[in-house]
Amino acid sequence: MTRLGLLLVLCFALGCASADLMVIQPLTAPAGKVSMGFEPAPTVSMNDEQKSLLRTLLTSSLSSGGVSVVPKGEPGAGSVDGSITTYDPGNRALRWVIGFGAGSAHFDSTWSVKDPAGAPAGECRVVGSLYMGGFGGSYDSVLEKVGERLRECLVPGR
Amino acid sequence: MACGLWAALGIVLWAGSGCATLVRGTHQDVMIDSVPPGAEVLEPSSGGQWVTPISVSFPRKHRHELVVSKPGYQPQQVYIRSEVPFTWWAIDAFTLCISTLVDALLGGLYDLEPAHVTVVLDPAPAPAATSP
Repeated sequence: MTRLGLLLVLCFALGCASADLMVIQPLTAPAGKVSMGFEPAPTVSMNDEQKSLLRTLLTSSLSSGGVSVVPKGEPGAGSVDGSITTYDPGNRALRWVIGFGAGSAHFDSTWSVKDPAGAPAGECRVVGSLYMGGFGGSYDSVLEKVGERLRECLVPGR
Repeated sequence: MACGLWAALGIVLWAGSGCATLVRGTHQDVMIDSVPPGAEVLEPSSGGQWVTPISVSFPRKHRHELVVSKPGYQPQQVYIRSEVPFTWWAIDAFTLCISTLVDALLGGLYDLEPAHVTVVLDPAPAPAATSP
């Protein structure tokens, strides 16, 4: 009971963002140096600010785990290209005031990895969500978790 | 004795709250980095201009829209948001929101996010060949 209470307090203070990695095709070799790109699926609407934020947070998460994100065409670098199939920041006010799933945030994406020669090297899916947190929790924390799972996809064990 | 301790704790919490502006100031350092380095960072609204890597002290109160560019690469827009962090809001609540108002007006209440930006610039597409 005490542990559950502590968990709830931590969730409220720090946020309860989570992200899961599903490996569709395991990587043939770890990709420690990649160029990164992504496109929202035709059914997904993302403005320039959201794209910039996602790019920044993913780059930061990958770099902090030792994956170098480099410009496209860099010699010796593979590539990871994502298709964003769900980008739903939800409603922070509803998460904070009502909770119980109201205003929940979701993210879904599929990532194709290519080796430096341009051959397919692996594929994975990363799904994230947020149901509660301090002030309703920030969607940024979901995107950071997504970046961490993507890093695990690129370099398993990191 | 116990009452005295609780009263002292209450006074410390009350006096210590609402000091986001005093503790953190009205500006926040944001680290801007780029791959490759040496890119120009421009904030059109303020006219600010810097070269990466750089730590820029931005006012906390406003969002910032930056353009990062380098010859031969595609320019990128970067957005730094101004958000109210839960921690300071909760601390300020001890003074019945009076200090929340003060911190909000002065800017100390806000956090700039993300505080560290690494921009990876992709090469500009080769110009299309022009026919004679």
